[in-house]
Amino acid sequence: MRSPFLQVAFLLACFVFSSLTGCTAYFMSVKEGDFDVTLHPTLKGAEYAMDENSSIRRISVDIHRLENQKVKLSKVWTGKAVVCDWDAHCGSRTDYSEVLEPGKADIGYVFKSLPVALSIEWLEKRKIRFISYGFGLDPLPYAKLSVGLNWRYGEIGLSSYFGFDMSNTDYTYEGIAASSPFIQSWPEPEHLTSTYDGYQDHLRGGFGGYASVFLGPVSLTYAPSVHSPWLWTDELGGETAGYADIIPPTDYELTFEFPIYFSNYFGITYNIREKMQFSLGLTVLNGIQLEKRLYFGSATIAYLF
Amino acid sequence: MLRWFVKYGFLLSAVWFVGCADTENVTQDRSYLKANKTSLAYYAWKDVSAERVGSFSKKDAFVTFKIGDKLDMDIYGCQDIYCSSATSVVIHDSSFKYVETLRRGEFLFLVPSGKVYSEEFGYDCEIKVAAYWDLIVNTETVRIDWNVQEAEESCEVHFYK
Repeated sequence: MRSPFLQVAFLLACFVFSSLTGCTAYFMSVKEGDFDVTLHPTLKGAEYAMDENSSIRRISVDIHRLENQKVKLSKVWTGKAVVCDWDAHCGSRTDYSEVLEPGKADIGYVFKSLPVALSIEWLEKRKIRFISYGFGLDPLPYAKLSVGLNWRYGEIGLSSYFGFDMSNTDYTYEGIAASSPFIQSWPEPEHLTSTYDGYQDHLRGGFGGYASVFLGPVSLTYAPSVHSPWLWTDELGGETAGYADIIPPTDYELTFEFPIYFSNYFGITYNIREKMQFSLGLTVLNGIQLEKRLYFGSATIAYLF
Repeated sequence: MLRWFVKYGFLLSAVWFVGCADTENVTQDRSYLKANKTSLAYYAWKDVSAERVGSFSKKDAFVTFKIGDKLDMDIYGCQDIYCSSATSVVIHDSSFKYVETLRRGEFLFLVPSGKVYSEEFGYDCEIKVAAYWDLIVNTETVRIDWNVQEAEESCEVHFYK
């Protein structure tokens, strides 16, 4: 399967094969395992009464205790999945080469707070309208945006962030891979049980609101938010299977969706003129599918210029 | 480049023709017939496989549980999942050379303690229990402690293909 002719033939075969039988040749049902989640960035506003029609930049250093907190996830169901070889046609729901039966995934999130995270934001206020946007490293880059209203005695607004993450994963899975009759060396359909232990990159994101009350130089902030730590993740790494002799080791299509979680941030910030901000915060994580609450403390030092 | 095209061209072609992430919600059923902790004089039942023949619905009808490949257990007068109205229990082999007939007072159908077994393998599950009892017999010739649950569980699941 090394000649260009056969590779093109393979491509055409896939073209027809996929159009007739569906589009996925690999599926994975995760049975049990742990997935790391980097603690999300805190979403909040200016945390002081900005002057009207002003703008300023803010560099922040978030400090956390280096720790891992594991929480089991409940009600994570893996669906039913099928792959077909050519002979099976997959014309009916009983005519499949390999089937993954539905079940429960016994998985957990391991929330990791890293000691230091950096971010830079641009803050602008027009009359009472407020907007901030910026980037951060935690340790991989993310972008965040907040819009709201900023008054003399407080502020409210909405925030969101979107970024990259690289997380350790360790799971046991059942996998299926399709076969094809087009190429003689094509292997038989596979049904395997295996484990995967390694780092995988993924996207993460979230959105929420914030509300702060300004008491002189002190700001009290509450910021609820919702997060998807493995955003749009529909594939995970697995053992080489199926037509791996012509395609490099593969990712498998997932048969479940990663649960979202909720965050509640309670913080107090002390402002020194419009130059420095010192914040202490408590982040409480929970979720419909998280079996317990988690608590993370943080401290932030910010420089405004 | 060709390798990349081979790998992702496959997915692109699928998107082009049929749309990827081909999923739908389907209802899936699973049946359980669980029989635990079973013992009988003359026979030791291990890894009991049981199969019900007949229906619970008709009064005075009997249901037969085939116990492994050696014995049948006919239960008469069983009208609900707890079988509390049973009038007699007959245990016999296929040739009826061995027959044990138990009358009321010689057996006891108890409601099992604990929760009904379910696998909850999807969303919005419904479980229909057909039999759920703990049959106790302790006579000179027969000793039975048979915890049985027969049920059908129906769940909504995502179907990926």
